[in-house]
Amino acid sequence: MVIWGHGFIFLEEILNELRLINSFKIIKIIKKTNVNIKKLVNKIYSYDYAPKYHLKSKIHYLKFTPPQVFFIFIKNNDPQEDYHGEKKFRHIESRTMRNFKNRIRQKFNPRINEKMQSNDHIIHTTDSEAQTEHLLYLLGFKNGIQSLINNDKILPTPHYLNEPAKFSIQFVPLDNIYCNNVVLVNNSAYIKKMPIYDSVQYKFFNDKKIYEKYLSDYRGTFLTQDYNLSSYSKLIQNLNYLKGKFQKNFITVKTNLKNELFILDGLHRASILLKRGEKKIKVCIYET
Amino acid sequence: MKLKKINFEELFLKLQNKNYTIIKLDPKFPDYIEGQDLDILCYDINDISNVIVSFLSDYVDDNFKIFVLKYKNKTHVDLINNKKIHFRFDIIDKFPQYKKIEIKNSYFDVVIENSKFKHINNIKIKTPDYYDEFMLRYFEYIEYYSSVPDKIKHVDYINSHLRGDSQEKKFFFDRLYHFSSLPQKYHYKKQNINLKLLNLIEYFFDLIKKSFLVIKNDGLFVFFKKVFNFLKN
Repeated sequence: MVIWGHGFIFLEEILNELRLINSFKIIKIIKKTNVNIKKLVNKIYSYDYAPKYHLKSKIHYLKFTPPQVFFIFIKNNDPQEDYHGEKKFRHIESRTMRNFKNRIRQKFNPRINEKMQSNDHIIHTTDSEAQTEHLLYLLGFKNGIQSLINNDKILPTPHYLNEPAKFSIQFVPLDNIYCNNVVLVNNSAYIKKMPIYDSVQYKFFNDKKIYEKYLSDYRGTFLTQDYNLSSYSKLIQNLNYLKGKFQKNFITVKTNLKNELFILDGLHRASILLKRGEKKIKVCIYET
Repeated sequence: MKLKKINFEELFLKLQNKNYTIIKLDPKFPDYIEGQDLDILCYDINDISNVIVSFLSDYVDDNFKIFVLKYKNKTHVDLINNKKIHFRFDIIDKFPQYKKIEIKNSYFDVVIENSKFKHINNIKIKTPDYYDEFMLRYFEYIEYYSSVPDKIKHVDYINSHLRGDSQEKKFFFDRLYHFSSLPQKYHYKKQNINLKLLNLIEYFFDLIKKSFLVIKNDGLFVFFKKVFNFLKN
Protein backbone atom coordinates (compact mmCIF):
# COMPACT_ATOMS: atom_id res chain seq x y z
CA MET A 1 0.00 0.00 0.00
CA VAL A 2 1.19 3.50 -0.80
CA ILE A 3 0.08 6.54 1.19
CA TRP A 4 0.68 9.67 -0.84
CA GLY A 5 1.96 12.91 0.68
CA HIS A 6 -1.48 14.51 1.02
CA GLY A 7 -2.63 11.52 3.08
CA PHE A 8 0.12 11.68 5.72
CA ILE A 9 -2.12 13.42 8.23
CA PHE A 10 -4.30 10.29 8.29
CA LEU A 11 -1.39 7.85 8.69
CA GLU A 12 -2.23 6.87 12.28
CA GLU A 13 -5.89 6.36 11.42
CA ILE A 14 -5.06 4.28 8.35
CA LEU A 15 -2.65 2.13 10.38
CA ASN A 16 -5.31 1.66 13.05
CA GLU A 17 -7.85 0.61 10.42
CA LEU A 18 -5.33 -1.92 9.08
CA ARG A 19 -4.67 -3.30 12.55
CA LEU A 20 -8.38 -3.84 13.09
CA ILE A 21 -8.53 -6.37 10.26
CA ASN A 22 -7.53 -9.76 11.63
CA SER A 23 -6.37 -11.15 8.32
CA PHE A 24 -4.00 -8.22 7.72
CA LYS A 25 -0.61 -8.09 9.35
CA ILE A 26 1.62 -5.07 8.82
CA ILE A 27 5.06 -6.39 7.92
CA LYS A 28 7.03 -3.31 7.04
CA ILE A 29 6.61 0.45 6.95
CA ILE A 30 8.95 2.53 4.81
CA LYS A 31 8.94 6.30 4.54
CA LYS A 32 10.53 8.07 1.58
CA THR A 33 11.00 11.81 1.54
CA ASN A 34 12.18 14.18 -1.19
CA VAL A 35 11.05 11.76 -3.85
CA ASN A 36 10.50 12.62 -7.48
CA ILE A 37 6.76 12.00 -7.45
CA LYS A 38 6.39 12.01 -11.24
CA LYS A 39 9.08 9.39 -11.65
CA LEU A 40 7.79 7.31 -8.76
CA VAL A 41 4.21 7.40 -9.99
CA ASN A 42 5.32 6.33 -13.47
CA LYS A 43 7.28 3.42 -12.05
CA ILE A 44 4.52 2.27 -9.70
CA TYR A 45 1.82 2.43 -12.36
CA SER A 46 4.00 0.85 -15.02
CA TYR A 47 2.97 -2.44 -13.52
CA ASP A 48 -0.72 -1.67 -13.40
CA TYR A 49 -3.19 -3.71 -15.43
CA ALA A 50 -4.59 -0.59 -17.09
CA PRO A 51 -2.73 1.14 -19.93
CA LYS A 52 -0.87 4.29 -18.89
CA TYR A 53 -2.93 6.59 -21.16
CA HIS A 54 -6.01 5.54 -19.24
CA LEU A 55 -4.36 6.29 -15.92
CA LYS A 56 -2.79 9.56 -17.00
CA SER A 57 -5.70 11.77 -16.05
CA LYS A 58 -6.43 9.71 -12.94
CA ILE A 59 -2.98 10.20 -11.47
CA HIS A 60 -2.28 13.72 -12.69
CA TYR A 61 -3.10 15.18 -9.25
CA LEU A 62 -0.26 13.22 -7.64
CA LYS A 63 2.30 15.47 -9.29
CA PHE A 64 1.10 18.25 -7.02
CA THR A 65 1.21 16.30 -3.74
CA PRO A 66 4.08 16.71 -1.20
CA PRO A 67 7.16 14.74 -2.33
CA GLN A 68 6.93 12.12 0.38
CA VAL A 69 5.44 8.67 0.49
CA PHE A 70 4.76 5.89 2.99
CA PHE A 71 4.96 2.31 1.74
CA ILE A 72 3.16 -0.19 3.95
CA PHE A 73 3.63 -3.87 3.25
CA ILE A 74 0.94 -6.16 4.57
CA LYS A 75 0.59 -9.88 4.79
CA ASN A 76 -2.95 -10.57 3.69
CA ASN A 77 -4.09 -13.94 5.04
CA ASP A 78 -7.44 -13.72 3.30
CA PRO A 79 -6.74 -12.14 -0.11
CA GLN A 80 -9.81 -13.54 -1.94
CA GLU A 81 -8.02 -12.98 -5.25
CA ASP A 82 -10.26 -13.20 -8.28
CA TYR A 83 -10.65 -11.81 -11.77
CA HIS A 84 -12.15 -8.38 -11.79
CA GLY A 85 -13.20 -5.94 -14.53
CA GLU A 86 -14.05 -6.52 -18.15
CA LYS A 87 -12.27 -6.98 -21.47
CA LYS A 88 -8.79 -5.49 -21.44
CA PHE A 89 -9.28 -4.21 -17.89
CA ARG A 90 -9.87 -7.73 -16.60
CA HIS A 91 -7.22 -8.45 -13.99
CA ILE A 92 -6.53 -10.42 -10.82
CA GLU A 93 -7.32 -8.42 -7.72
CA SER A 94 -7.61 -9.09 -4.01
CA ARG A 95 -11.18 -8.40 -3.00
CA THR A 96 -10.34 -7.79 0.66
CA MET A 97 -7.68 -5.24 -0.23
CA ARG A 98 -9.97 -3.52 -2.76
CA ASN A 99 -12.69 -3.21 -0.12
CA PHE A 100 -10.20 -1.79 2.34
CA LYS A 101 -8.82 0.69 -0.20
CA ASN A 102 -12.30 1.90 -1.15
CA ARG A 103 -13.27 2.34 2.48
CA ILE A 104 -10.16 4.39 3.24
CA ARG A 105 -10.62 6.50 0.14
CA GLN A 106 -14.24 7.17 1.03
CA LYS A 107 -13.27 8.16 4.53
CA PHE A 108 -10.16 10.26 3.94
CA ASN A 109 -9.98 11.41 0.33
CA PRO A 110 -10.15 15.22 0.03
CA ARG A 111 -13.69 16.54 -0.37
CA ILE A 112 -14.90 18.71 -3.22
CA ASN A 113 -17.73 19.82 -1.00
CA GLU A 114 -19.56 18.43 2.02
CA LYS A 115 -21.34 15.79 0.00
CA MET A 116 -18.83 15.01 -2.72
CA GLN A 117 -15.55 13.27 -2.38
CA SER A 118 -12.74 13.94 -4.87
CA ASN A 119 -10.84 11.33 -6.82
CA ASP A 120 -7.50 12.56 -5.49
CA HIS A 121 -6.91 9.27 -3.79
CA ILE A 122 -4.71 9.36 -0.72
CA ILE A 123 -3.78 5.70 -1.02
CA HIS A 124 -2.88 3.28 -3.74
CA THR A 125 -2.85 -0.46 -3.18
CA THR A 126 -1.38 -3.21 -5.28
CA ASP A 127 -3.95 -5.56 -6.78
CA SER A 128 -1.96 -8.74 -6.37
CA GLU A 129 1.21 -10.29 -5.01
CA ALA A 130 2.91 -9.86 -8.40
CA GLN A 131 2.47 -6.08 -8.21
CA THR A 132 3.77 -6.05 -4.63
CA GLU A 133 6.82 -7.95 -5.80
CA HIS A 134 7.42 -5.25 -8.42
CA LEU A 135 7.06 -2.52 -5.79
CA LEU A 136 9.61 -4.24 -3.56
CA TYR A 137 12.08 -4.45 -6.43
CA LEU A 138 11.55 -0.73 -6.95
CA LEU A 139 12.52 -0.09 -3.34
CA GLY A 140 15.68 -2.16 -3.66
CA PHE A 141 14.55 -5.47 -2.17
CA LYS A 142 16.37 -7.78 -4.55
CA ASN A 143 14.55 -10.87 -3.32
CA GLY A 144 11.11 -9.26 -3.58
CA ILE A 145 8.45 -10.80 -1.34
CA GLN A 146 10.89 -13.45 -0.19
CA SER A 147 12.85 -10.75 1.67
CA LEU A 148 9.73 -10.00 3.74
CA ILE A 149 9.00 -13.64 4.44
CA ASN A 150 12.44 -15.04 5.25
CA ASN A 151 11.11 -18.06 7.14
CA ASP A 152 13.92 -20.51 6.59
CA LYS A 153 14.58 -20.56 10.31
CA ILE A 154 14.37 -22.82 13.31
CA LEU A 155 13.01 -20.17 15.65
CA PRO A 156 10.51 -17.48 14.68
CA THR A 157 12.03 -14.01 14.41
CA PRO A 158 11.16 -10.94 12.33
CA HIS A 159 11.87 -11.16 8.61
CA TYR A 160 14.83 -8.78 8.79
CA LEU A 161 16.85 -11.19 10.93
CA ASN A 162 18.71 -13.96 9.19
CA GLU A 163 19.24 -16.93 11.45
CA PRO A 164 22.96 -17.70 11.65
CA ALA A 165 24.50 -21.16 11.40
CA LYS A 166 25.27 -21.09 15.13
CA PHE A 167 23.05 -19.97 17.94
CA SER A 168 22.37 -20.89 21.53
CA ILE A 169 19.69 -20.60 24.16
CA GLN A 170 21.07 -19.38 27.46
CA PHE A 171 19.98 -18.03 30.81
CA VAL A 172 21.60 -14.62 31.14
CA PRO A 173 21.54 -11.66 33.51
CA LEU A 174 19.22 -8.96 32.20
CA ASP A 175 21.69 -6.26 33.19
CA ASN A 176 24.25 -7.65 30.75
CA ILE A 177 21.88 -6.94 27.88
CA TYR A 178 22.11 -3.70 25.92
CA CYS A 179 19.98 -2.21 23.20
CA ASN A 180 20.02 0.34 20.43
CA ASN A 181 17.87 3.46 20.32
CA VAL A 182 17.77 6.31 17.85
CA VAL A 183 18.97 9.60 19.36
CA LEU A 184 19.01 13.07 17.93
CA VAL A 185 22.21 15.07 18.21
CA ASN A 186 22.65 18.39 16.40
CA ASN A 187 19.61 17.67 14.30
CA SER A 188 20.95 14.41 12.99
CA ALA A 189 19.63 11.07 14.13
CA TYR A 190 21.90 8.17 14.85
CA ILE A 191 21.76 4.82 16.61
CA LYS A 192 23.21 4.68 20.12
CA LYS A 193 24.00 1.73 22.35
CA MET A 194 22.53 1.95 25.86
CA PRO A 195 21.32 -0.15 28.80
CA ILE A 196 17.69 -1.23 28.58
CA TYR A 197 16.64 1.12 31.40
CA ASP A 198 17.79 4.11 29.30
CA SER A 199 15.74 3.12 26.28
CA VAL A 200 12.55 4.84 25.17
CA GLN A 201 10.81 1.48 25.51
CA TYR A 202 11.66 1.45 29.24
CA LYS A 203 11.02 5.15 29.77
CA PHE A 204 7.48 4.45 28.53
CA PHE A 205 6.61 3.31 32.07
CA ASN A 206 7.08 6.85 33.33
CA ASP A 207 6.08 8.85 30.28
CA LYS A 208 4.08 7.41 27.41
CA LYS A 209 4.53 10.58 25.38
CA ILE A 210 8.28 10.02 24.94
CA TYR A 211 7.51 6.68 23.35
CA GLU A 212 4.74 8.11 21.21
CA LYS A 213 6.98 10.90 19.92
CA TYR A 214 9.77 8.41 19.23
CA LEU A 215 7.45 6.34 17.05
CA SER A 216 6.10 9.35 15.26
CA ASP A 217 9.59 10.79 14.59
CA TYR A 218 11.18 7.64 13.25
CA ARG A 219 8.32 5.58 11.82
CA GLY A 220 9.25 4.35 8.38
CA THR A 221 12.85 5.51 8.63
CA PHE A 222 14.65 3.95 11.61
CA LEU A 223 11.56 2.06 12.75
CA THR A 224 10.14 -0.03 9.96
CA GLN A 225 8.15 -2.45 12.11
CA ASP A 226 4.59 -1.79 13.20
CA TYR A 227 5.26 -0.52 16.70
CA ASN A 228 2.38 1.28 18.35
CA LEU A 229 1.22 2.46 21.71
CA SER A 230 -1.82 0.24 21.94
CA SER A 231 0.08 -2.98 21.12
CA TYR A 232 2.76 -2.12 23.65
CA SER A 233 0.19 -1.36 26.34
CA LYS A 234 -1.48 -4.72 25.67
CA LEU A 235 1.90 -6.47 25.75
CA ILE A 236 2.65 -4.93 29.14
CA GLN A 237 -0.60 -6.37 30.49
CA ASN A 238 -0.37 -9.79 28.85
CA LEU A 239 3.29 -10.68 28.37
CA ASN A 240 3.77 -14.31 29.30
CA TYR A 241 7.36 -14.68 28.16
CA LEU A 242 8.11 -18.11 26.62
CA LYS A 243 4.83 -19.52 27.86
CA GLY A 244 1.99 -21.16 25.92
CA LYS A 245 1.90 -20.21 22.26
CA PHE A 246 4.87 -17.89 22.79
CA GLN A 247 7.10 -20.74 23.92
CA LYS A 248 9.39 -20.30 20.91
CA ASN A 249 9.50 -16.50 20.81
CA PHE A 250 12.83 -15.84 22.44
CA ILE A 251 14.28 -12.39 22.85
CA THR A 252 17.09 -12.51 20.29
CA VAL A 253 20.48 -11.02 21.04
CA LYS A 254 24.00 -11.11 19.68
CA THR A 255 27.36 -10.77 21.38
CA ASN A 256 29.89 -8.06 20.69
CA LEU A 257 33.66 -8.13 21.23
CA LYS A 258 33.27 -7.04 24.87
CA ASN A 259 31.02 -10.05 25.41
CA GLU A 260 28.04 -7.79 25.95
CA LEU A 261 24.69 -8.85 24.61
CA PHE A 262 22.79 -6.66 22.17
CA ILE A 263 19.09 -6.98 21.50
CA LEU A 264 18.23 -7.74 17.88
CA ASP A 265 14.58 -8.47 18.55
CA GLY A 266 12.54 -8.12 21.74
CA LEU A 267 13.45 -4.78 23.32
CA HIS A 268 9.84 -4.17 24.31
CA ARG A 269 9.65 -7.57 26.05
CA ALA A 270 13.02 -7.06 27.72
CA SER A 271 11.90 -3.66 29.04
CA ILE A 272 8.74 -5.19 30.51
CA LEU A 273 10.70 -8.03 32.14
CA LEU A 274 13.19 -5.54 33.59
CA LYS A 275 10.34 -3.44 34.92
CA ARG A 276 8.82 -6.55 36.49
CA GLY A 277 12.07 -7.03 38.37
CA GLU A 278 13.40 -10.09 36.52
CA LYS A 279 17.11 -10.61 37.04
CA LYS A 280 17.86 -13.38 34.55
CA ILE A 281 16.05 -14.45 31.39
CA LYS A 282 16.36 -17.08 28.68
CA VAL A 283 17.46 -15.60 25.37
CA CYS A 284 18.50 -16.80 21.96
CA ILE A 285 22.06 -15.71 21.27
CA TYR A 286 23.15 -15.36 17.65
CA GLU A 287 26.82 -16.30 17.48
CA THR A 288 28.96 -14.14 15.23
CA MET B 1 22.89 -32.15 42.72
CA LYS B 2 20.61 -34.60 40.93
CA LEU B 3 21.55 -34.88 37.24
CA LYS B 4 18.87 -33.74 34.83
CA LYS B 5 17.52 -36.38 32.48
CA ILE B 6 15.65 -35.63 29.29
CA ASN B 7 12.00 -36.61 29.41
CA PHE B 8 11.75 -38.33 26.02
CA GLU B 9 8.14 -39.30 26.56
CA GLU B 10 7.13 -35.66 26.55
CA LEU B 11 9.38 -34.84 23.60
CA PHE B 12 8.10 -37.60 21.34
CA LEU B 13 4.54 -36.71 22.20
CA LYS B 14 5.26 -33.29 20.69
CA LEU B 15 6.81 -34.95 17.62
CA GLN B 16 4.11 -37.56 17.07
CA ASN B 17 2.48 -35.84 14.08
CA LYS B 18 5.75 -34.93 12.39
CA ASN B 19 7.48 -36.78 9.58
CA TYR B 20 10.61 -38.23 11.11
CA THR B 21 12.29 -41.49 11.96
CA ILE B 22 14.95 -42.33 14.53
CA ILE B 23 17.75 -44.47 13.18
CA LYS B 24 20.31 -46.62 14.98
CA LEU B 25 18.36 -46.30 18.20
CA ASP B 26 20.41 -47.36 21.19
CA PRO B 27 19.02 -50.59 22.70
CA LYS B 28 19.07 -48.97 26.14
CA PHE B 29 16.93 -46.02 25.06
CA PRO B 30 15.45 -44.01 26.87
CA ASP B 31 18.40 -44.55 29.23
CA TYR B 32 21.45 -42.72 28.06
CA ILE B 33 24.86 -41.64 29.15
CA GLU B 34 26.20 -38.10 28.94
CA GLY B 35 27.43 -37.22 25.45
CA GLN B 36 25.14 -39.71 23.68
CA ASP B 37 23.20 -38.75 20.58
CA LEU B 38 20.01 -39.54 18.69
CA ASP B 39 19.97 -39.63 14.87
CA ILE B 40 16.81 -38.25 13.33
CA LEU B 41 15.90 -38.38 9.64
CA CYS B 42 13.19 -35.97 8.59
CA TYR B 43 11.83 -33.92 5.70
CA ASP B 44 11.93 -30.54 7.43
CA ILE B 45 14.96 -29.93 9.64
CA ASN B 46 13.76 -26.52 10.81
CA ASP B 47 10.39 -27.84 11.90
CA ILE B 48 11.83 -30.77 13.87
CA SER B 49 14.62 -28.62 15.35
CA ASN B 50 12.05 -26.03 16.37
CA VAL B 51 10.11 -28.61 18.41
CA ILE B 52 13.29 -29.95 20.02
CA VAL B 53 14.76 -26.54 20.84
CA SER B 54 11.56 -25.26 22.41
CA PHE B 55 11.16 -28.50 24.36
CA LEU B 56 14.75 -28.37 25.62
CA SER B 57 14.45 -24.71 26.57
CA ASP B 58 12.70 -25.86 29.75
CA TYR B 59 16.00 -27.44 30.77
CA VAL B 60 17.99 -24.21 30.33
CA ASP B 61 19.25 -22.74 33.58
CA ASP B 62 22.54 -21.56 35.10
CA ASN B 63 24.24 -24.84 34.18
CA PHE B 64 22.43 -25.99 31.06
CA LYS B 65 22.23 -24.30 27.69
CA ILE B 66 21.22 -25.30 24.18
CA PHE B 67 23.61 -24.98 21.31
CA VAL B 68 22.42 -25.22 17.70
CA LEU B 69 24.76 -25.74 14.79
CA LYS B 70 23.36 -25.76 11.27
CA TYR B 71 25.13 -27.44 8.37
CA LYS B 72 23.89 -28.16 4.88
CA ASN B 73 21.22 -30.87 5.26
CA LYS B 74 22.15 -31.41 8.91
CA THR B 75 21.57 -29.67 12.23
CA HIS B 76 22.96 -30.47 15.65
CA VAL B 77 20.88 -29.49 18.65
CA ASP B 78 23.00 -30.02 21.75
CA LEU B 79 21.97 -29.77 25.35
CA ILE B 80 25.15 -28.59 27.05
CA ASN B 81 25.92 -29.09 30.71
CA ASN B 82 28.85 -27.01 31.91
CA LYS B 83 30.56 -26.93 28.52
CA LYS B 84 30.11 -30.67 27.90
CA ILE B 85 27.52 -32.20 25.60
CA HIS B 86 24.83 -33.71 27.78
CA PHE B 87 22.82 -34.99 24.81
CA ARG B 88 22.92 -34.36 21.05
CA PHE B 89 20.10 -34.48 18.50
CA ASP B 90 21.59 -35.10 15.07
CA ILE B 91 18.91 -34.13 12.56
CA ILE B 92 19.32 -34.69 8.81
CA ASP B 93 17.10 -34.24 5.76
CA LYS B 94 19.35 -36.07 3.29
CA PHE B 95 21.77 -38.97 3.48
CA PRO B 96 25.37 -37.84 3.61
CA GLN B 97 27.36 -38.16 0.41
CA TYR B 98 28.81 -41.63 0.94
CA LYS B 99 32.01 -42.42 -0.94
CA LYS B 100 31.98 -46.18 -0.72
CA ILE B 101 28.38 -46.86 -1.53
CA GLU B 102 25.81 -45.19 -3.76
CA ILE B 103 22.28 -44.85 -2.45
CA LYS B 104 19.29 -43.91 -4.55
CA ASN B 105 17.95 -40.48 -3.56
CA SER B 106 14.44 -41.85 -3.20
CA TYR B 107 15.55 -44.18 -0.43
CA PHE B 108 15.57 -41.37 2.13
CA ASP B 109 11.84 -40.78 1.61
CA VAL B 110 11.20 -44.53 1.62
CA VAL B 111 12.78 -44.86 5.07
CA ILE B 112 10.63 -42.07 6.49
CA GLU B 113 7.41 -43.19 4.83
CA ASN B 114 7.90 -46.82 5.92
CA SER B 115 8.78 -45.98 9.49
CA LYS B 116 6.68 -47.53 12.23
CA PHE B 117 5.75 -46.51 15.73
CA LYS B 118 7.68 -48.42 18.33
CA HIS B 119 6.56 -48.44 21.96
CA ILE B 120 9.37 -48.26 24.47
CA ASN B 121 8.12 -47.90 28.03
CA ASN B 122 5.52 -45.18 27.55
CA ILE B 123 7.31 -43.59 24.62
CA LYS B 124 5.85 -43.77 21.12
CA ILE B 125 8.70 -43.31 18.75
CA LYS B 126 8.97 -43.62 14.95
CA THR B 127 11.73 -45.97 13.86
CA PRO B 128 12.59 -47.42 10.44
CA ASP B 129 10.98 -50.53 9.13
CA TYR B 130 12.69 -53.83 10.11
CA TYR B 131 14.68 -54.11 6.85
CA ASP B 132 15.51 -50.40 6.59
CA GLU B 133 17.18 -50.55 9.98
CA PHE B 134 19.52 -53.25 8.61
CA MET B 135 20.14 -51.30 5.43
CA LEU B 136 21.09 -48.13 7.31
CA ARG B 137 23.42 -50.05 9.58
CA TYR B 138 24.97 -51.73 6.56
CA PHE B 139 25.64 -48.35 4.85
CA GLU B 140 27.26 -47.08 8.03
CA TYR B 141 29.49 -50.17 8.20
CA ILE B 142 30.55 -50.01 4.54
CA GLU B 143 31.35 -46.30 4.67
CA TYR B 144 33.21 -46.07 7.95
CA TYR B 145 34.63 -49.52 8.73
CA SER B 146 38.09 -48.72 7.36
CA SER B 147 38.47 -45.71 9.67
CA VAL B 148 36.27 -46.85 12.57
CA PRO B 149 36.64 -50.64 13.00
CA ASP B 150 34.04 -50.52 15.75
CA LYS B 151 31.43 -50.26 12.98
CA ILE B 152 31.63 -54.03 12.65
CA LYS B 153 28.98 -54.01 15.38
CA HIS B 154 26.44 -53.14 12.68
CA VAL B 155 27.24 -56.30 10.72
CA ASP B 156 27.05 -58.31 13.94
CA TYR B 157 23.66 -56.75 14.57
CA ILE B 158 22.42 -57.68 11.09
CA ASN B 159 23.82 -61.23 11.32
CA SER B 160 22.27 -61.78 14.70
CA HIS B 161 18.85 -60.98 13.27
CA LEU B 162 19.12 -62.54 9.82
CA ARG B 163 20.45 -66.04 10.31
CA GLY B 164 20.88 -68.80 7.73
CA ASP B 165 19.27 -68.77 4.30
CA SER B 166 16.03 -67.39 5.50
CA GLN B 167 13.45 -65.60 3.38
CA GLU B 168 14.18 -62.51 5.46
CA LYS B 169 17.80 -62.50 4.36
CA LYS B 170 16.77 -62.74 0.72
CA PHE B 171 14.35 -59.87 1.17
CA PHE B 172 17.07 -57.77 2.81
CA PHE B 173 19.53 -58.35 -0.05
CA ASP B 174 16.88 -57.69 -2.71
CA ARG B 175 16.12 -54.39 -1.04
CA LEU B 176 19.79 -53.57 -0.60
CA TYR B 177 20.53 -54.21 -4.30
CA HIS B 178 17.50 -52.22 -5.32
CA PHE B 179 18.37 -49.08 -3.42
CA SER B 180 22.16 -49.16 -3.39
CA SER B 181 25.16 -50.11 -5.44
CA LEU B 182 28.90 -50.04 -5.16
CA PRO B 183 30.48 -47.11 -6.97
CA GLN B 184 31.47 -48.05 -10.51
CA LYS B 185 34.24 -45.51 -10.96
CA TYR B 186 37.73 -46.30 -9.65
CA HIS B 187 37.98 -45.33 -6.02
CA TYR B 188 41.73 -45.74 -5.97
CA LYS B 189 44.57 -44.26 -7.99
CA LYS B 190 47.86 -45.78 -9.07
CA GLN B 191 50.24 -45.19 -6.18
CA ASN B 192 53.29 -43.08 -6.73
CA ILE B 193 55.67 -41.58 -4.20
CA ASN B 194 53.72 -38.31 -3.94
CA LEU B 195 50.43 -40.07 -3.39
CA LYS B 196 51.95 -42.37 -0.80
CA LEU B 197 53.32 -39.39 1.07
CA LEU B 198 49.99 -37.62 0.86
CA ASN B 199 48.19 -40.70 2.16
CA LEU B 200 50.62 -40.95 5.05
CA ILE B 201 50.09 -37.30 6.00
CA GLU B 202 46.34 -37.75 5.73
CA TYR B 203 46.53 -40.86 7.90
CA PHE B 204 48.49 -39.12 10.66
CA PHE B 205 46.32 -36.04 10.48
CA ASP B 206 43.29 -38.27 10.87
CA LEU B 207 44.85 -40.02 13.85
CA ILE B 208 45.61 -36.70 15.58
CA LYS B 209 42.05 -35.51 14.96
CA LYS B 210 40.57 -38.72 16.35
CA SER B 211 42.92 -38.69 19.36
CA PHE B 212 41.93 -35.14 20.15
CA LEU B 213 38.23 -36.04 20.00
CA VAL B 214 38.66 -39.11 22.22
CA ILE B 215 40.66 -37.13 24.81
CA LYS B 216 38.10 -34.32 24.73
CA ASN B 217 35.05 -36.56 25.04
CA ASP B 218 36.29 -39.56 27.08
CA GLY B 219 39.48 -38.43 28.77
CA LEU B 220 43.11 -39.53 28.74
CA PHE B 221 42.50 -42.93 30.34
CA VAL B 222 40.15 -44.09 27.59
CA PHE B 223 42.50 -42.64 25.00
CA PHE B 224 45.50 -44.66 26.23
CA LYS B 225 43.33 -47.75 26.53
CA LYS B 226 42.31 -47.38 22.87
CA VAL B 227 45.91 -46.80 21.79
CA PHE B 228 46.96 -49.92 23.67
CA ASN B 229 44.22 -52.00 22.02
CA PHE B 230 45.12 -50.61 18.62
CA LEU B 231 48.81 -51.50 19.03
CA LYS B 232 47.92 -54.94 20.35
CA ASN B 233 45.82 -55.71 17.26
